[in-house]
Amino acid sequence: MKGLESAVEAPDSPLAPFDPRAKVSAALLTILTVSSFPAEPTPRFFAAGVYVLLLALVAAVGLRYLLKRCLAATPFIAMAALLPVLSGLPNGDVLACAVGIKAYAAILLLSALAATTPVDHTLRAVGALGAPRSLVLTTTLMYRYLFVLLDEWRRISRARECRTGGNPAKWRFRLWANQLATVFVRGWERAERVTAAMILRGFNGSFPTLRRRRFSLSDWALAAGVPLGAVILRVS
Amino acid sequence: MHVADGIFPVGACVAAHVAAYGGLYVSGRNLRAEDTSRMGLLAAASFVVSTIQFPLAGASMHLGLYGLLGVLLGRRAFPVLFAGLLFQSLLFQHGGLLSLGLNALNMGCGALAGWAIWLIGALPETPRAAAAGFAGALLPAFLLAAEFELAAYGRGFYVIASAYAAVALVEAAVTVAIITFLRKTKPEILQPAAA
Repeated sequence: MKGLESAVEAPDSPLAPFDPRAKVSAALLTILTVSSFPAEPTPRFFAAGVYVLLLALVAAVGLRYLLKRCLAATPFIAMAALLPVLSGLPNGDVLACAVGIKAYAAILLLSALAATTPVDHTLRAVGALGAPRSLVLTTTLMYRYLFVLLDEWRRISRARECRTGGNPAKWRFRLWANQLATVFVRGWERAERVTAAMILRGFNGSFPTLRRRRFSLSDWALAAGVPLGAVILRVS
Repeated sequence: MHVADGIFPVGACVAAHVAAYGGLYVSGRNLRAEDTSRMGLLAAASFVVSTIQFPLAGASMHLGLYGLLGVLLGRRAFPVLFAGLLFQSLLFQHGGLLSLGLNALNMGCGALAGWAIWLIGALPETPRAAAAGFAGALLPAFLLAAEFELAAYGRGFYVIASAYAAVALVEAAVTVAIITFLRKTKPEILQPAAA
C-alpha cells in the first residue's frame, strides 16, 4: 500500500507545479491520440512511443517508479498482445507490437500524472473536466476512508493472530472469509455514523474549496502542447 | 482483468464510456448526499478486500467480489465499482483511463448480475449467494472475451475466461461465507436493495 500512502512520489518534478486540470487533460488527450494510431509498423508510430517515453523521462518521476508501474501491468498487456499471435491471426505480431506500444505509453503518462499530483487534486480536476459529480464524490470519499479501513483491517488481523496463535491451516478459509466480512460490517457501521455526522454539519453532496486556481498560460501550453506533439505525429 | 489503454480501439472505448455514463446516470438516480457517504465507505471496504491476498492451495490470489457488492448495494454497486476503477486507474494504473468505461461496464454487469440473482426469492439463500458470487466473477471474464473477439483478437480469451471459473468458484465460496457471517451479525445489510 506504499503507493497509496505517499501523497506525491515526485514533488520536485518539473510537472508538479502545473494545474492538475492541465495535466489530466494533457494525459488523456495524448493517450487518445496514441491509441488512435493504426496498428501498422510505421516510423511515426514508433516515434509516438518514443515521444511518450521522453515525456515521462522529462517529468523526472524516477525510472524505478515507472518500471514498477509498467511491470505491474505487464501480465494483462502480455496476454492481450499474445492473443492475436497465438490465435494465428494475419499480422498478429504487428498487432501485438502495437498493443504493447499503446498500452505502455498510456501507463507511462498516467504514472507521470500520479507521481506529480496528489490524488484529491487529480479527482477534483477530473470533476472540473466534466466527470459526473456522483462519481467524483464517491471516489473522493473512498480515498478519504481507505486509510481508516486499512487500519481497521490491520487491527482485525492482529486480533486474529493473537487469538489463533498465527494462522491455523485447518480453519484458514473460514477465518479469512469472516475477517473480510468484518471489514464490510465495520465499514457499514462507520458509514452510518459518519453519514449522520456529515449531514449534521451541513454536507450537501459537495466539498467546497476556498482555493481557486487560475489556469495560467503555462497550463494552457502543457494541456495543448503535449497532445499536439502526438497529434502531429499522427497526422503527418 | 482490468483492461489497459491501447488494447481496444478508441471508438469502442469512447462508446463504452458513453454507455457507462448512461449506466451511471440510471444507477445513481435519486442519489442523496447521505447515500454518497455510504457508497464511498463501501467502495473503500471493497477496495481493501480486493487488495488482500487470499491464500489458495499454497499460492495467493485477490478477490473482486463484484457479486457480493451487487448483493449489498443493488444498483448502487455500479457507481461504487466505477469509482473504484477510476481510483485504481489514476493511482495504480490498474486499467486505463480511456478504457475505464469498458472496465466499468464489464465489472458492473457482474455486480448487477449478482444483484439480480440475489433478488430471486424462490431460491434458498446459500445457493443464491453462491450463484451471485460465481456470476459476479465469471460474467466480466466472458464479456471481456466477447469484446476481444469483436475487436478481432481471436477467440483465445474464451479459454482464459473458462479457466477463470476456478477463481469464480472461490469467489462463490467466499461470498457464501461472508453472507452467512453478515446474516448472523448484521442482517440489515442484506435487505434487498430498493430498486
